[in-house]
Amino acid sequence: MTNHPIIKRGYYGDFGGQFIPEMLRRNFEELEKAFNEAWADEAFRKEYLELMRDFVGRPTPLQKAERWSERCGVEIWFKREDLAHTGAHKINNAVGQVLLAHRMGKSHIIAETGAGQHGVATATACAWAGLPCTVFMGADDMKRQKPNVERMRLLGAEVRAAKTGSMTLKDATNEAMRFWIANPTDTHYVIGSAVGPHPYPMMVAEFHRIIGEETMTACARLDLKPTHLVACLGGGSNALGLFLPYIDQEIALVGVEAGGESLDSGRTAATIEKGSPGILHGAKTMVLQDGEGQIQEAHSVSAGLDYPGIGPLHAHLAAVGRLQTEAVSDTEALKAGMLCTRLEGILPALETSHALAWTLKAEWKGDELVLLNLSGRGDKDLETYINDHGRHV
Amino acid sequence: MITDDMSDIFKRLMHADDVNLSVFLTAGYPNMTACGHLIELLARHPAVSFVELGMPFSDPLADGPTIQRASEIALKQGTRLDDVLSLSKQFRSICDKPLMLMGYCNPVYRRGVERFVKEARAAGASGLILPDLPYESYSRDFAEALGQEGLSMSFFVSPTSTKEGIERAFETSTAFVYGVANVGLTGDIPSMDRGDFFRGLQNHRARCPIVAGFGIATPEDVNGLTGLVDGAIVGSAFLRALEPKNESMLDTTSIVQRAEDFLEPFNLNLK
Repeated sequence: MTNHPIIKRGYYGDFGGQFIPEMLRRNFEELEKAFNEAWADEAFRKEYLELMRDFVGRPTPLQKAERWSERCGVEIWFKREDLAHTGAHKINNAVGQVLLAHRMGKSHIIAETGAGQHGVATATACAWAGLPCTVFMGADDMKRQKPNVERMRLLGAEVRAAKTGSMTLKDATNEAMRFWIANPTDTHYVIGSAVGPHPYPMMVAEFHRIIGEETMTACARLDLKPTHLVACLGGGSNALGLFLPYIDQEIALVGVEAGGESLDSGRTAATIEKGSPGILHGAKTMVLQDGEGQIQEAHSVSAGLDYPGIGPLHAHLAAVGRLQTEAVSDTEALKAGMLCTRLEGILPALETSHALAWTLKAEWKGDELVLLNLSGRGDKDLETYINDHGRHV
Repeated sequence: MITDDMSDIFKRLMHADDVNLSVFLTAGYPNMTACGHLIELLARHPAVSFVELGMPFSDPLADGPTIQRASEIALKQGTRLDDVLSLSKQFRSICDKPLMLMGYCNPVYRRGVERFVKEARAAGASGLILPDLPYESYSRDFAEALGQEGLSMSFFVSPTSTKEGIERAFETSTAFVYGVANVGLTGDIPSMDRGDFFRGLQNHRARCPIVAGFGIATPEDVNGLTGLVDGAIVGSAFLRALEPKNESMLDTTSIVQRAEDFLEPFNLNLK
């Protein structure tokens, strides 16, 4: 909730805030008020939860990964977000925000997308709600993720190419913000991760909190006492969704960043590991930047992780030592994804493969109990997996 | 050269009945050499009352395609904050017109606010405009340093501003209030009646001058604001005029010529 003790005037510790032009200030004031009211309103919660059940297919299972556990030498359970409608956790937030936009009387939805998962989720929620939807996507990403572009169009969304800068997620986010500046009254901007100016990071996290809550319920039923929660970190929404109900408990929170080619290659997306405090997309957080404060391009084999920032709440949790961050390389992630497919019959999204890869290389004593957020399915990444597989056979 | 407090200079300048013309130029665009000549032209040009010098940033959130592209080109050619400061210094060596450094927060924070403010002062800048700087950060990180160096700061009001937002901008700005004359980005075609918006701000004007920007392109746009604002900023339209569209338009003489041609009709405003 936006009145969580961690938050002071939109800041999470030293991070967060609202570094936005005056033209957007009213929108943010309205949004924060509307979200707080909606989230405290039983009727809104009820509608959201019914949609989570009937439209999204929740709760998603918590499944023991027998052969994966054996391979890692520790007991590991998967939270199967890949089984949620549209194939990833992203839909929780998309449905929540579209419901909120509807309640606010907004008549047009915009979103940014990198790999296309959030774009597909938002287009899906908009089709359900009967709201027109415009998705901004980097021109380069549109080429890399063509099936998702077509999928969004089939769902009735307009996909607009962001042709500035690196032509990826960062630039799509800029374009969406700019569109909002020019169309502030009737439009709601559905940000796809726990990033951006307050109240977005907390609001997105709240719409994903259901992941952690279901996990807790399942653990109680199965009498599981987890010691570690593991999730991949791009912007950080799936990680925060799982971690949020556990933040005040004694349990290790591990966020796995995309190391890219390697941590010291300069071609990485490991923002907490390699970044420094800066301001990007309206929030103070950890960013990849040069000495002049220019934002650098991020690199990862996973289009959902190549973002040069991170949620400000994650930056805060890492700074105070609550969040442990790790990085795995493109190669390690690809290998782990293939291995999971063979051992568990689950083709994971490349993003998720990063979390998987870390459990393979971490040093376990053997008495831990690990819950891993299997945040999405890998159908969208088939081409990358197949090409990589071809290289190794 | 500037020894006076900038806010006084602005007040004097803004006292005139006419709308003062300001020109926005992205530092390092179209290239560093040409930009040096352009800043001299602006310093000497009789139609130009003051200048916004853009500090290029990789992610300019409030800017339309023209300034985005100009920033990108400037950065690609290696324009650094030091280059921005040296252009400011060059301008100051020629004239005492106000010069505002305009950009986004991150590069300034990266440099260190205090250090940057000192450097800006040494380079003869009059003040800063940072559209993404929150008021709390201004009070905490900037106000004292700027006050010590006698530099000003401008905040924004826009057609979507709340009453409190307008109040705060006029109370906090020490140079002028930047009135966003459109619902849109820099360089967008206006989608609203500017007159109505600025008429609504008149009772604040005695406290702090108002300068209009965003989508102001022609002498007619500027003259249309007579009596309503103290200044008007032409940015994207100026940069578009500079843009080299083919090989023959790349040399400095041709770039400066196009800048002069662009500014020529604004001379008619001079009485």
